Amino acid sequence: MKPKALLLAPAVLAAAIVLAACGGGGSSSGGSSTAATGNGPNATAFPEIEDWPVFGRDRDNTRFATQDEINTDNVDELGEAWSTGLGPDQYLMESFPLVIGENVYVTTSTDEVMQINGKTGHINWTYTPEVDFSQSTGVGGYGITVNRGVAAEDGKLFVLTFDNKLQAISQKTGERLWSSQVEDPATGAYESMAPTAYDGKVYVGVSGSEDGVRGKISAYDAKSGKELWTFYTVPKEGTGWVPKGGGGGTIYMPPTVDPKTNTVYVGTGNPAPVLVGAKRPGKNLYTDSILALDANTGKLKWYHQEEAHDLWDYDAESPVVLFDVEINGEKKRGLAEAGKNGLLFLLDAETGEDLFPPVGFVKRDHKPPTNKPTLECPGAVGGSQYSPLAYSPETQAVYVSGIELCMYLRVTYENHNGEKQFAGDRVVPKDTEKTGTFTAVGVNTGKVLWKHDMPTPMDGGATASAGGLVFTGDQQGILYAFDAADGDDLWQANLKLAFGTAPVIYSIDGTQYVLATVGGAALTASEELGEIGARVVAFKLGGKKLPEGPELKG
Amino acid sequence: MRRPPGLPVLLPLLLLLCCAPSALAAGRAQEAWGPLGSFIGRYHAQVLSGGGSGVRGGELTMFVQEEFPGSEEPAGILKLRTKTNNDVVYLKELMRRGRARTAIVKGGSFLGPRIGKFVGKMRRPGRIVANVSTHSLGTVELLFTRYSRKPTP
Repeated sequence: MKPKALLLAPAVLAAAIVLAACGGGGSSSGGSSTAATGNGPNATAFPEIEDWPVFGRDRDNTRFATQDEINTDNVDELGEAWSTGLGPDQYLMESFPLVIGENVYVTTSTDEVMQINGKTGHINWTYTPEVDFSQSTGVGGYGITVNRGVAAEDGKLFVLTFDNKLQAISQKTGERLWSSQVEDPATGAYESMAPTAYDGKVYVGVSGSEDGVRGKISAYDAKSGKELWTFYTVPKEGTGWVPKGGGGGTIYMPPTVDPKTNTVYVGTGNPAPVLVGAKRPGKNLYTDSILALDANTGKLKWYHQEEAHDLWDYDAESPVVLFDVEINGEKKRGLAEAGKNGLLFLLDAETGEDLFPPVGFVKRDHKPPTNKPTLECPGAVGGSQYSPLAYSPETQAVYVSGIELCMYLRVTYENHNGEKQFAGDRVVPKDTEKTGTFTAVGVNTGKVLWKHDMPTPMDGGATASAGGLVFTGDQQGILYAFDAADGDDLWQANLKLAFGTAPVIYSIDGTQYVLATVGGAALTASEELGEIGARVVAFKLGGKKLPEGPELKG
Repeated sequence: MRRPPGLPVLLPLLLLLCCAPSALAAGRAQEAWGPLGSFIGRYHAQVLSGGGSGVRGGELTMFVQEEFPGSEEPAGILKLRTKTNNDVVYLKELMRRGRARTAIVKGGSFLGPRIGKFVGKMRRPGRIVANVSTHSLGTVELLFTRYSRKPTP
């Protein structure tokens, strides 16, 4: 297979620096002003609601549904309630839906927003924005367009289009209310993330680290679309550590807002030039980092860098999860994030310091790339990509999707893969196994509770429920329900389209549904891992039985 | 009577004839639709006949893809507007014969599955009439008129 450029997952290299890359030795953190106290129960966590109104269902971004109608005792009765295709020539699906009232809100990879009846699957309306998709020529033309969903607040939906527009539309009718340009397309920036809306503000980042885009997170006024503040994650090109044409630290997933401490948490991407580290001395702050910012001003509270002076494209891409935990008798507000470097980070949400040493969830064996091909594990698209974690307060565990995919990296000092600042090769060995892991890690112990070796890379993320279940989907199109406590493989359904997302759970008129958006991720297409398409499939107890997948080995 | 050409003359010719299509398909020919200046750029797409496709218009961007130095290959991003969707497909493996211009159509991305074909004629540089077929849309006849020679926004 020829080397492929992955717009959402570049790699990185350089020659000189020896990194303490194991056991989190490459990570660092720094504090500034003290965050407000966040200990104790969080009123916003685990609301007893029937909807899925924000990206991770609650403000802690746990992806934990409080419904328990579908549980470990009856999950084998789960079957298809309805299935809806999302239009002609729709391929790929990285959209994480919201559910408000009876309606599901989902985006397509070409930026349409659809309102779908949650009971029947009928598409009530479609909002089709004008989008300039030629923007993907900016990364050598291998750009893959995806859209990871909408945010909702106060009767509005907020969507980011590929060509860097933040748009507000009516939740009821799909009519456009306003549109704001959030970045100049000439910079090479593009959008793939779902925004986050909270308390009259919409929080937005930009993507494109691999193309030297300067990362930033901004807050916009939800009523007018006016920019309120911007925090740049790296210095301007030609200043600080960033060379001319360099940048990085861009953002691919929605920030997590903690209303109790008025803090925005967000993960950032790789530095650029991606493969030539010698041109960017030092740690390259704040790339590959978790940032805690003041929600009103954008002022940095603290940072925790997961990979200092990254040479492998180890983004901190997946969204941050918050939780309350007691460790050695002390109550803590905790934070979890799984990186592309194959490590799960469990941090103190007030300070950014480690609660426990980082926990590995895929094979890790890498060294600084040279001008000879070197096998690096995880590869540039390994570890955990944008895949959201789930957290269950019942098991006190987070559930981590892992990609076992090593790559040959090679420095060339030339522009490769169409990415201006890449300067190297990333090649997946032809005979390499492309597999994955699914791992439960205790947030109160930092220990692996159970782990499955999965037959395919796991790219979609996880969803947990009060029914004692955790759901995840693979690249063959198989949706799994595991016992959240011990990992027992309780139920499977083969949807025959690859997963690039995690399910959501909602209830209408007393019936609980598990809703999956399927069709594959950019990784599915680039590595030919499974069938791509775009469908929304709802399950309920007593629904139509679908075939199961093969028995898991581990 | 002229003597027929000998093997030293024929062999390169035969090699050229047998290998040229695969060379084009492999993307080594940078002028698969002719000189780059004749087709690279941005186009408005006007529907000439669409049958039941529901296509109302669109935009085409023709540009040179670069996977790595030496791999430059022309390609296209075609957005077709239907009543409810941005139908975005990708043109690869550009070929030409006389005025004919063809490509395969991929879905989802340049790395996605082959879902149709592009069969057209270049009337003059920057002006192409083509039938675009995909699994979902059927066949739609479009007039592409270039409005910018620069492919990027």
